[in-house]
Amino acid sequence: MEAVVTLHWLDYLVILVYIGFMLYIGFYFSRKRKGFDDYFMAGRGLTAPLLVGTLVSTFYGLDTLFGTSEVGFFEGISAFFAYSLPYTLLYVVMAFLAPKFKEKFPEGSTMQEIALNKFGKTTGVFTSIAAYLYSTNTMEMMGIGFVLHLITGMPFFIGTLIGAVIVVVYTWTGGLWAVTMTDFIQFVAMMVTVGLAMIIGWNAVGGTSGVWEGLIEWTGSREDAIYFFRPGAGYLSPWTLVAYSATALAVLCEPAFFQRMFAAASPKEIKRGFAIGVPMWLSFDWCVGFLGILGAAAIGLAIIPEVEANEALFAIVGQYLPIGVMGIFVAGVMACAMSTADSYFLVAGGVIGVDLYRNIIKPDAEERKVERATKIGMLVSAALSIALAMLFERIMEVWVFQATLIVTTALIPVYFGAFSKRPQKKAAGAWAAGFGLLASIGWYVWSNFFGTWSEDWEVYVIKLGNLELWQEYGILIITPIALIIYLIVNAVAKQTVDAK
Amino acid sequence: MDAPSSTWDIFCYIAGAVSIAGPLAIIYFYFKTASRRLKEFKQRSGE
Repeated sequence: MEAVVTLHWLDYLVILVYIGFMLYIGFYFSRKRKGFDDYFMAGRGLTAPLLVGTLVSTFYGLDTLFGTSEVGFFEGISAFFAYSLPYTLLYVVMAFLAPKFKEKFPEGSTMQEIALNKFGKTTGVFTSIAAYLYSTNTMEMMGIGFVLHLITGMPFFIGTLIGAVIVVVYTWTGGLWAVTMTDFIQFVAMMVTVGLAMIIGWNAVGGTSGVWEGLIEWTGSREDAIYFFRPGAGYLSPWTLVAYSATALAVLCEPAFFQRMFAAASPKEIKRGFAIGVPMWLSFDWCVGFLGILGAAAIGLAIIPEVEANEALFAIVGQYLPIGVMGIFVAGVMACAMSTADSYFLVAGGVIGVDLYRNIIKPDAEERKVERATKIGMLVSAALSIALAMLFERIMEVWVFQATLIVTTALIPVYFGAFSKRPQKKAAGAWAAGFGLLASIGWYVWSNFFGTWSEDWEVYVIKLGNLELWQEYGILIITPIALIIYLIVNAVAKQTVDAK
Repeated sequence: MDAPSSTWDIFCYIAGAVSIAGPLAIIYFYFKTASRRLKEFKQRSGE
């Protein structure tokens, strides 16, 4: 197989140094840390600069880099205005809510604990399963495999395997300290290189006028090209864009965010972390969306060959970045994946070690056994991630599935549990979470096996009479039903749970 | 069909500049925090 981008030996050196440094940090912290709280919660001492790095880089992985640029490639500025802006809005909301969670649950470790303590074991187990499946690093593993394939031409699954081994090794050894320390470096690498690519690439094609010319060539007419500069226009239906926007609700029930909130030194540090993080998220979103548009225009201008949407970003950057800087860009792209993957491996491990083993199966378990269970959970998650990476074809498809799962299962019990003034009914959380989890999985299984594959739209469609429902609409249908179930059961049920 | 305005250029360059300058601006605070933590780790190891 041929590589899409050719690298200089200096670029490879930069990438190797970067990987070596990540592994060194993992081993360093494995020697220094003491106890499980140090391993899983970084001693609850994260301050604003560390929080900014870990919050931004964790939530922005390759799904954002390639997913948003893919949407930009096809949809134009809708990638930012219809897809990314709802996320920004919810980061702002989270900036106010996150300190409140820390104040209410100063000794908390995971989001699932809130569901467990407020609604009992059944709800705790349902939200834990959703958090575990959400935390599988399918997209990141696909992304690393894809990047290594692009730069070396190696088979996709070998690249996936190499990525998984590197990330698991330093997360396994160093825990949250290693994750946050490496996240910051990864945060700088991914932000700076995307910013550089934006400025250099946009300028090189001649700015907006050059991009406009390229889009006319690529689409074949001025009428089609102008759609790239109209929010909400493009090949996706309005409801699909609404469904993509609804995935932003995952920000409110993001297990990795909760782990960092609880690991923060104080509520004030969390507020600062989000306040600095929001402009970073916003600028990163803008850059990757517009790099997608730039990719489409560059094909029209014959600057890059006719590549797939998700390869365009790499091809355009490879065209303009100088030797050495290209290596930093590749390291930045890998950083994007690794900073997300390490956090979610740790979160997935925590679901097994903390949520299921310590909180449900064996509350008096020794710390070292909890740590061992956490590490086993991490390994299983890595294996599951690699397996799923072979099954899915589109990065956006994976993200919408995972967001649907966590939003429909965890959002309602966690927020009603945390913020309701009156005690909530045990059965309400269990029914809502259980319905959300089973309905989400059922929806995806049903649409995959009994839906019709649309060649035009590249999605599964469920037909109910004249009604055509895309697989992506699951989040819009299941979430309101779960809410109604919650409200009804909460009104009729009697038993409440004594919160711990 | 009018060509899009060159205002987009300004926003693209601003977004690129924030992406580059933002993380670099807080690097100092990161190293300050990181060195404090490392000192604490060393003290604890020496106990």
